[in-house]
Amino acid sequence: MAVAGLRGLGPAARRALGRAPCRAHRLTPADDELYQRTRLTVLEPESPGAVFLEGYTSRGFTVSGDLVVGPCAILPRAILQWNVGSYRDISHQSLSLFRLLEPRIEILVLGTGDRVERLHPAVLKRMRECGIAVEVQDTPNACATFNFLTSEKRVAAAGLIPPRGTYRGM
Amino acid sequence: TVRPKNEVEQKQLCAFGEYVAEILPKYIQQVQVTCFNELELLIHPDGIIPVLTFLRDHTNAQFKSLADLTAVDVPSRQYRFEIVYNLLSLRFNSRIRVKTYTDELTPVDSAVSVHKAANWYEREVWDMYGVFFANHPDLRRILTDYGFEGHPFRKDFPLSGYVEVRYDDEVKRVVAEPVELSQEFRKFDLNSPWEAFPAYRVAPEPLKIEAGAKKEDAK
Repeated sequence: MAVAGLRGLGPAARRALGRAPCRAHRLTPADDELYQRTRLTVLEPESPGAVFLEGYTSRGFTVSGDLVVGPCAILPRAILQWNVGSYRDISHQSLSLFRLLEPRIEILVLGTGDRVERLHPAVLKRMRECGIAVEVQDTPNACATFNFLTSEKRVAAAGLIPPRGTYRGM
Repeated sequence: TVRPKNEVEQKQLCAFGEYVAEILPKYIQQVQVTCFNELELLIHPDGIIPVLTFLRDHTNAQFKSLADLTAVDVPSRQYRFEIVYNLLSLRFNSRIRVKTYTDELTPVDSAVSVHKAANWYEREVWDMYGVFFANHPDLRRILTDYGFEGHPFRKDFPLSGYVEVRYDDEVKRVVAEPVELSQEFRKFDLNSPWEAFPAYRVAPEPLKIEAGAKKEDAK
């Protein structure tokens, strides 16, 4: 009775029910029998030109081996200290540097500290009008996002405010 | 509907709905039971956390599991977004739906303090509809691209979007450009000229329970 019930099932179901699989009809190994090499992609500072965020602390950031103290503005070819106190100081003027860059950056990642803070909608609108997409997140996630975007070769810039929380290295 | 009516379950749900409405009259604005025996509580947006905490912790409710958190966009209303919480009680094997309303600018309290599962659901509602959740630990976009503008699930957002991406060989990367449709958008009206369900010309009303008044009997 058990055999009759199994005849209607497919090979995967039969294996699950404990019957020995018969592969006599196959000449080459099936997909699940091939040993497939595991592929691993690791984000690394491979190319020397790329800017890569290695860590953040409550005092500053480690960018491509350089330590930046305080809020940091990261551009495709430059790393600068940013002149803001906290997320409240992010305004049309403090973002003017990102607008003036040539060739134009595609996306600007803003890290506002410990938590996501809502910025003034007028400021975001002005950036959008210049053709720059703005992504507002908390600083740990903003660092990760900036790294993803640079590894995907998208022209990204970042404005990061160090998180005020407990000391944390990446 | 062809499904036979389960009067017993409907009476039980009505009784439970009245019970909850009597305990929390401040926030619950209406209780209804649909014809499929689903209990729905319509509440004021200020009362999300009290009502969800009550439903989670009260002995007779114990809706410990948040099954779903979504929003519905009805642009014709003044409060266009309707936030829907679907809760499941494992002890009593029953479900309940809690609905609130908000418009585009008013923030809504986050349910993360009551149910941890609400975290990503609320991120999705923020991303897709633009409903801001106050006191959410990490409210950022979850499904759309970094730097995406607009909220796709709103009814005024077009089906094709505003931006399309293509690989540009000159700059050797993917660029985003305004969308160009090769054929203009066609909207098909699929209504047939013949009436489909003549017995249901008037939609059956869900059973509404007013606080303190007698139950209205509906079809």
